[in-house]
Amino acid sequence: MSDTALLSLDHVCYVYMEGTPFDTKALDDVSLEIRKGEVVCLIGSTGSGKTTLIQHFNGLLKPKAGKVLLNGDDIHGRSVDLRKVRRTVGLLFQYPEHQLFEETVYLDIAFGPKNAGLAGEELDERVRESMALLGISFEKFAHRSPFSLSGGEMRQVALAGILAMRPEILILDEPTSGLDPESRRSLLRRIRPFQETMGITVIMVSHSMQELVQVAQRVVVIHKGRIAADGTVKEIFERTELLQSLGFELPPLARLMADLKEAGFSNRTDAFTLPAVRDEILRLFRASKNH
Amino acid sequence: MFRVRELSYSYHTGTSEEIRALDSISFDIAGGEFVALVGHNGCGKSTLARHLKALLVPVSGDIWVDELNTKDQKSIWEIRRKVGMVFQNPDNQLVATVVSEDVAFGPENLGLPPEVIRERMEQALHAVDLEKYKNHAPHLLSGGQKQRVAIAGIIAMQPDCIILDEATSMLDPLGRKEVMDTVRKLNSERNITIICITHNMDEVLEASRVIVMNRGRIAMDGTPAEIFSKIEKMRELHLDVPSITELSWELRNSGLPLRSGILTEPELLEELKVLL
Repeated sequence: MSDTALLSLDHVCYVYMEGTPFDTKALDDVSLEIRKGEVVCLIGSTGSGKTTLIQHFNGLLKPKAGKVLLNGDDIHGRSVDLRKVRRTVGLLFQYPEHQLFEETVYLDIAFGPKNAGLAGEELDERVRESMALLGISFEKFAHRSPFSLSGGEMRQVALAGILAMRPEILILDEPTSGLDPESRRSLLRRIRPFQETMGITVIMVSHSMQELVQVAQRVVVIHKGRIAADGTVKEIFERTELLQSLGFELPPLARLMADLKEAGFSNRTDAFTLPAVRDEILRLFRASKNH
Repeated sequence: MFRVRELSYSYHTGTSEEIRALDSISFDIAGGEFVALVGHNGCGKSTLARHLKALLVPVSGDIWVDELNTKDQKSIWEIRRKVGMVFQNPDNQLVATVVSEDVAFGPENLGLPPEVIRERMEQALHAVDLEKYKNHAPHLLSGGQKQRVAIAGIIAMQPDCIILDEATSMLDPLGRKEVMDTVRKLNSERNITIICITHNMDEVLEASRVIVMNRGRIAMDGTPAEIFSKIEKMRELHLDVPSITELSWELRNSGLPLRSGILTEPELLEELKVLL
């Protein structure tokens, strides 16, 4: 194992309902290393094992075989305090808005750090910092009931509660599922800065190829409890057959670039975002006019 | 199929928290149409959909479903049979422990004879291509399969219209495709009217007509090509535009002589092959 791995899975297996007729192998000999400062997207269809996998990252599930290592230490080892692991690895569940419970947004975000022993000004600062990171206006929202917010706002509050624990690793399980386009965009815009300004390592589970382009540096494809592919966005997009077999289609802009290339044009195929694709087509257009 | 005239609806009427959810809306939907209903959260889409199934009754204005007024108590059950609705969460709408029983639940409540119930159940499962799963427990199916069981339950009621209220938003791409394939087939082969409430642009492109709502009113109504060619207006309403349409628009602004109304990747590819 390389010494730069922050979090790693070493030959991890997990089985649901072991010893019953419904025995299901959810993870089958998975080894994976996450390095500090990476932004990784996990993709895979429903039932592929994505959620089972991330629940191993903070010790919610214990592998039936293999190890989970955080900074080189087995998190289920005797000398490791699991509570500390869970403070280091923050996990945003699917539909986290169902987990809000406090009277005000402020109290909800303060709940975690308060339990970790923070109080007074330090606690106040944490709450304000987390709200600022997510662009939640303190004046407007701090003293409102979380249940009076819209779905998108509630989800941002839930995420602020996790950031208030200042995790080193943030895991997001389908964070945009069920949001409207505006809330989705505003949440996605916030994710890269967690890594860029705070140095948080981010692992995001997603179904959307479009989101992956906007957020990820590295993509890990999970299929039937195994890692089917692991690479940069460009490398993964080149695996068209694999993606198709999993029901994932290339986002239209990436497909356009691939199809132009196939039609014999000399364009780059690593342009995925709208500005990059636009500039690449304009370049081709100018070149063709000069001929 | 639907005639809506000056429909208004408010939540919390008569209190200080009164919210006008629908504000004097009028439109028609013909039998066999495939309509996408879009708008950002809180624009009134779901409130409107609930009116079409007579789950809500207008504060003012009228809705006729095949000439039956939703305000008329005697028509309510007939309207609710004609109009089926699939909701967002696949786990919240199945009632039985076996797929076949879940699908038969509606017809049983109509008091039909057992052989008719059985026949309807079989036909409905055939329509959504789930005969194989007849004796399965619904909770062990995938999300896409659960939504198709929910659709089969509606089909067994022999409806004229199916409303999908963000029915694919919790599904993965395969599940989404399964459900949309089923819906498209029901629309083209059985002429069932489809009203699809969605944020997903691929699903909007499936429709022959798009109704855009904003603040309880209809902001736009037209074909996908007409709606998406008004990019600035869509942005103003905080709505997504297919990425290919947005790209074409930006390329045109940068001087490329592309036609307007390009919606899909193959269309743009053909144009570019000629231009570049």
